[in-house]
Formats: sequence, structure tokens, C-alpha cells
Amino acid sequence: MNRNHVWHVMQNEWRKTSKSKMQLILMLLVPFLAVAFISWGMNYVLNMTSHYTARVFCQSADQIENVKLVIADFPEFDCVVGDEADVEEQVESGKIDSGVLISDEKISIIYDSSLITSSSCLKDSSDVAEYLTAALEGQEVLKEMRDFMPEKEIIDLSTDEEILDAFLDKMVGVIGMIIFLMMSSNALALAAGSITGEKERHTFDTLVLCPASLPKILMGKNLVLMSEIFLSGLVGIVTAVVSFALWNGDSFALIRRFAGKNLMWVLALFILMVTSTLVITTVFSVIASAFSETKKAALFASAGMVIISISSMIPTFTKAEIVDFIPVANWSGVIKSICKGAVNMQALLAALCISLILYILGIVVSSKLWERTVE
Amino acid sequence: MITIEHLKKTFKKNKVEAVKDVSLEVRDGEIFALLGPNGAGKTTSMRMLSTLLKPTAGRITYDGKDIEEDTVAIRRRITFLTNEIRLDGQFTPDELANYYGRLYEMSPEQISKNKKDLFDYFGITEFADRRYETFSTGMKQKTSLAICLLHDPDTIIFDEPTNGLDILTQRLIEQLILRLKGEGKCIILSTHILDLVSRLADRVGVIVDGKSVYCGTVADMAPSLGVETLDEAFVKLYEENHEEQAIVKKK
Repeated sequence: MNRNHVWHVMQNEWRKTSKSKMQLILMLLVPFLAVAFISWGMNYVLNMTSHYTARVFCQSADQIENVKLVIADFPEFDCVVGDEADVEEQVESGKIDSGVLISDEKISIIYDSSLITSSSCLKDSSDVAEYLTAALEGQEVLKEMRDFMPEKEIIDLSTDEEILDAFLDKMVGVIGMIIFLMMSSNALALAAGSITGEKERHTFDTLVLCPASLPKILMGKNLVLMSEIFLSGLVGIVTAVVSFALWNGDSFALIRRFAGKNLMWVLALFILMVTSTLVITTVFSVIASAFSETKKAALFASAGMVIISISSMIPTFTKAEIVDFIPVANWSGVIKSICKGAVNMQALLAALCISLILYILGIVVSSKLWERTVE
Repeated sequence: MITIEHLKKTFKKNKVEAVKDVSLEVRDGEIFALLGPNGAGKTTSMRMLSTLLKPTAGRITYDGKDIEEDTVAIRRRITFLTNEIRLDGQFTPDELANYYGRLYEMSPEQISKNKKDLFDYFGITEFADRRYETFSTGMKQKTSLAICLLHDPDTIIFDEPTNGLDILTQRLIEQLILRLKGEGKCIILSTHILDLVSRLADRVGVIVDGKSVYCGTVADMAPSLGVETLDEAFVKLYEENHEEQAIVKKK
């Protein structure tokens, strides 16, 4: 294969992209804005919904100083003077999620007008402090409380791994999927412009008349398409990382702790991006090659988007290990495992090989389809 | 020499038999005009001749070499130009010439030499840094011509090259055709303008309803059919060979 032809087509396609403001916006600005906005929005909602409000009520003012020292590390809690009636009134009116009532003899935890649990008799204020510390650090009493209200986030009670899992489920899964869909929608527009558009603009004949075979021309175009899709994905990933670091420092620190032990996560992320880019490029270049009108190609490319989206949702239907080996379907799973520093590299490499085979098949099919539509 | 033997093309999509049986011979260094009414199959034949379409049946050879056997080698030797051909609008003629020159595996020196000659000839040197999409129809056609001729092909296939162009650009193209002939190139020209044929062409082929019905010199065409002018000869050939007309005549 004359690699020069592929290289010349690539250079030309890149030049074309650099001259098109729309393509640059689509490729760089849209993923940046979309991911940044969604990360910020989700983080805002997450903080709103998961912020656990509790208040410690001390029956006597003398207890307050001691209790404040104990709860200093738990910003979710504040401390006021009050009795059982105050706790119930505030819980019922929704001002707080739960109340911890401290008397000289016992600690009671009240949630939704119910007494969840109460301690045995406590002797003095140091006993109270000790008990409260144990409770807030996730000992028996608050574990019962968590079982009672599992829908609430009680961050203090979770292990680091559980905290990370919750964060990844809520944020990374969704943001990862958005980046992935952004890559697909970019591919849709770029493939239609670069491949179908050649025929619509009547520039196809001049290109085909050159002594470069169609597969070479198509490969040149596909490689540039791939690099553009990859770049848009990369912009999305970098934006997401920066957004997490800015707006969700605690969880980001956890990810760094879990994933940052060695640099394998960089390689894993790269392989995942390449795998996805290969599959996306293949799907959209085959669709774009089959039509001579951009509108029609875009219409059918939407069907391609649906297929890709459904494929990426396979993990929702099955938890089987085989999902890790399926390109596209493994997207969210691998992103999560990268964040947790537990990537199955074997599965990831197998997925890369599958997507490479698909890509080569795609080139052959695309060039046949491309040639056929000229008639 | 180019020989076309029993060429046939049926489009799979709509099952239209655009070319049924075309056999022609085009000699080196001549201007060969392809005539025929609209829908006769001229453009399809020209596209097959230029390797853009694959024939359903029949054979095309360039100097004895089958077009299907070494398409890439044939593409190095030919060029095809229609008034429909466009180039990427966001590029300048200069960038387009460099790109297509590289695709034709020309050296940078060759590209800049041929580019200078052609741009000077077509008067586009001063616009070489302007985007193609900003050009008028005539300028676009001139640029397309320059790009198509950049690799110095020895066979030039023109499909109605003067359609939609002003008189000045038409004259420029006529002069170009004569210049190319003077350089020993073979020119195949499809057109409706019989005046152009009588002025430029050495030989002529006529296609009616997808079938070649005449192939000979321009000078012999009218006398061989017993008429005086090229127009009359063309009409006679059409009436004798057009399927509906022939049926009416038989009845």
C-alpha cells in the first residue's frame, strides 16, 4: 500500500478541518462546554440531595462545649440546646433529617419522628462524648440508622470504597456516557461531511480519478476522522477530570488515591479511547459511505447512534464478565474500574483487537459502498 | 489508441440500461467528438472510459491494455472533466494543485512547474491564494481544468465542457483543446454543439439510445449518409436509429 496517498489525504483532511470553524467548535468547544456544564450541574444536584442534615440537641448548655469538640470533624452536624420536643418538631417540619438528642443519661437518635435507637445509660459528659464519637464514626448505632434510611447519603458511615462507588455510579458513569455520546455525535457530523459530502459537493470524481485506490483515500479520511473523534473525547475527559477536581475535591482525591498508584490507568484510558474511537469511526463511516446525500446519511447515522447507545447500555442488563470484552459496552465499566485502579487489562486488549478487526472490515465495506453509490 | 468494444452498462439501482452496445475507436493525437441526443448514454460511456464506472459488459482498452486490469496505471494517463466537477471550496487553487499533484505522485518541482504554466494560461495566477468557493462559475471551471491537467495526461476526456460558460471561457476552452492537440494529446469530447465538432474534431462517434450508430471522420459523415451538413447527418442518424421513430417508420 502506498502510504504516501494515505498521508496526503490525511494532511488535506486536517487542513480542511482547521479551516472550518464549525468543525473546530463541534470537536473542541462543544465537548468542553457540555462536559463542564453537566459536571457542574450534577455536582450541584448531588450536593443538594446528598447533604445530610443532622443536629445535635443538648439538654443542658454545659454539654455543648464538649459536644462541639467531638463533632468538629463532622460538618453535617451542628449543635444546639433543645429537648426531645424540639428534635421531633424540627424533624417533622423537614428542617433536619435527623436529630441526636443528648441527655445526661443517654443519646437518642430520631429520624422521621421515630426513635431509631438509644444508648444505654451514660454516666457523664465524657461518656457522652465517647459514645457520640463512636456513633458518628460509623459504629453500631449509626449503622443501624443507615439501614433505616438507606436512601440517604450518610457519607461519614461509608468506607472509602463505598464512597467512591457511590460517586462513580452517580457522576463518572453519566459523564463518561456523555463524553462517549459526544464522540458519537461528532462522528456523525464529521463522517457525513467528509465522506458523504464528497459526492454532494461533486468533488468525489476528481478524487477517485487520482491513482490512489478508494480504500487508501477512505483510510486517510478515516484516520483523520478517528483523530478528530479521539480529540473530542480527550477534551471531554480532561474537562471532566478538571471539573471533578474543582467541584468534587474529596471524591477526586479518593480517585487519585485508588487509581493513581501507578500509571497503568493512563494506558488503560488510552486503550479504551482508541477502542471506542475505532468502533464509532467504523459505524459512522460505513453509514456515511452508503449514501450520496448528507441528509439521508445523517438520518441513518441517527440509527447508528441508537445502536451504539443501546450497546453501551448492555451492562445495565447483564453483569456478566463478558461485557468487559465487548467494545462500547465496556465503556462505563472500564471508566469506573480505571477510577478504582482495578482495570482488567486482558479484557481491554481483547476489546481493542475486536474493534481493530471491525475497523478493517469497515474500511473494506465502506469503500465498496462508497464506490457503489457513485452509480 | 483507445478501443471500446460492445460496451454495456445497466445501473443496478434503477435497472436502467443506459448503454446497450457501444463500439468506438479513438486514435492517438486526434480530437474525437461523441455526439448523441440527451439520454443517449454519452455521459455514462464517458464515465466508463474515464474509469469512474465499471461496464456491465464489453471491453475498453488503452493501447491494448484492458482498463479493468490496471485501472491505476490508466488513471495516471487520463483526465476527465465535466461542468459538474467541483473542487473543495475552502482551498485555494494553489493548495488544490499541491494536493492533487501529490496524489498523482508528482515531484514538488514538477508540481510547481506545471502549476505555473497552467495558472498562467488560464489567468488564475493572481487568484491562486483565494478560496475556490469565492470564484465565479467561469473561474471555477478554469481552476478545475488546471487541476485536471496538472499531471500532464495524454488522454483528455471532456464531457460537455462548455455548458453554462460565457463566450470568453468557451473560446478559452476551444483554444485549450487545440493547444492540447498540438501537444499530441488525444481528446475525447462529448458535446451537443455541432458547430464545435465541425471546427475542432477529426473524427466523430454518434450514440443513439445507448448504441453506437456511427464512427468515422467528420468530413465523411454527411456525404456517407447522403446529406449536405453535419446537422442533417445527425438528424438522419437519429431518425433511423431511435427506437420509437424506427417503429413508426416500419409501420
